[in-house]
Amino acid sequence: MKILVAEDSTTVRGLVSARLSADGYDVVEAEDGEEAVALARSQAPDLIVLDKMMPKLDGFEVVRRLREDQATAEIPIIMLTDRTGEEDVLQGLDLGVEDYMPKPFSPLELSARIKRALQRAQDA
Amino acid sequence: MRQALEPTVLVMAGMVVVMLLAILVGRTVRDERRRRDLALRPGLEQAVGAYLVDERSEPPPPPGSRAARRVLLAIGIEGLTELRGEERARLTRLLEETGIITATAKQLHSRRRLTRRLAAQALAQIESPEAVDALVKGLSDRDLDVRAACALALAELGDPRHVHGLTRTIVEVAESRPGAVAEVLLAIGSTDPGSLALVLEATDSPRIRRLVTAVAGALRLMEYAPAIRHELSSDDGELAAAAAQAAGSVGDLLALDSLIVLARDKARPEHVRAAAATALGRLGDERAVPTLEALLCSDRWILQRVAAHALGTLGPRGEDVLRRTDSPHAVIALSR
Repeated sequence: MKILVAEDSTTVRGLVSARLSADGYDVVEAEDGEEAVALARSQAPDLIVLDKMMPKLDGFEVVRRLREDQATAEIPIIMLTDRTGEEDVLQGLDLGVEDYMPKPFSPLELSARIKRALQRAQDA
Repeated sequence: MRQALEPTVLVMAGMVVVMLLAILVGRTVRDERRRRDLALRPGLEQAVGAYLVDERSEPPPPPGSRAARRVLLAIGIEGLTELRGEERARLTRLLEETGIITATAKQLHSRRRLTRRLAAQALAQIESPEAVDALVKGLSDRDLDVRAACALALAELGDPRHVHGLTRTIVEVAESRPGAVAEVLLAIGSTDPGSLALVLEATDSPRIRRLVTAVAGALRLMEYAPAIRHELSSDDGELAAAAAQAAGSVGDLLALDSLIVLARDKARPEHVRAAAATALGRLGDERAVPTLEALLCSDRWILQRVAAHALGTLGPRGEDVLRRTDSPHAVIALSR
């Protein structure tokens, strides 16, 4: 299973990638929103972990563009966000975000949510 | 005249050249440091990541250079602000085992004020008991910002043994660094709420009492409701306003009568009465309706606005009043 991790902090990206690699996933990394969209189209990941605040394109814009493209419209997305105000959550759900994780977050918990999201996608 | 000017011009030209050289050298040193740090970073991030995900793995060896220590500390702080849970705890242990925390704590003794300040701020992020001794000494630093940063670091650790030392520092820096004091109090309130009472006992400072009251309200610490109620009758308008806000935040219905008195008291400044009216709206008790109706009909714009908003949250009785009133604020409140 391939996971795309889109996060501009090299430290956080590295930590998440290390956790997911240890769990047996193939990990592809993007450091900004534009790269995230390009890699989602070229690499066809099974799931995307997406930071909300990124340079070039923010997380919501990335989701919008991926949902408009048939090739990437169905990829489950888990968004990492530094706040979980109701408006943010509703906007994300409206756009088709599968799940939210507020920061600070636990990579272990993220891994469990990824597993659940992939299971749901397979069952669907 | 010309001959007299020539040496002066030469000296000034020389000073400018020296300044430019100093700027150039400084920039080159900084660029070189940045280049070294960027080169070290990927390897250290990988090593840290591998250590965090595998409980059986050995920690990376202690960094062998100042640059490696600097990069590892930066990685550690970035990770600590983004993570929680088991990985965060392992990251703190890693920083302890590689000597980073000890090295950072030593920087609290640096002669350079900026170094001490940055060290204290870093230790506040790390929250490690290893740094406690250095942080306690830092409470007596000659620089206010270093003292405030050390106080915050100790407050984040949540050990009630340090509250007296913290309180002394809070009192010393409160006038010039109220924002820093608010941060420290928030940290105390979050990690050890009971200690806020110790802070209140230790000082009569109105500014600190205001901040403690505001923090108790922001954190919704119901155990401070009696203390908050007491401050509603304070002659200090700012303290009474902070208490009103806090009473509304914690939802203290026992404060209802005092808030009604405060809202009606024409001798009080407007913002104090407005804070009381807002709190009455938050409490949601219809007994506040007559008072809020009186404020809605007053000739003070801010009181009308706040009262209308509060009435809009008080159910059918509140809405009735709004409908009967010919006020733009009432129209807006009803439309929400």
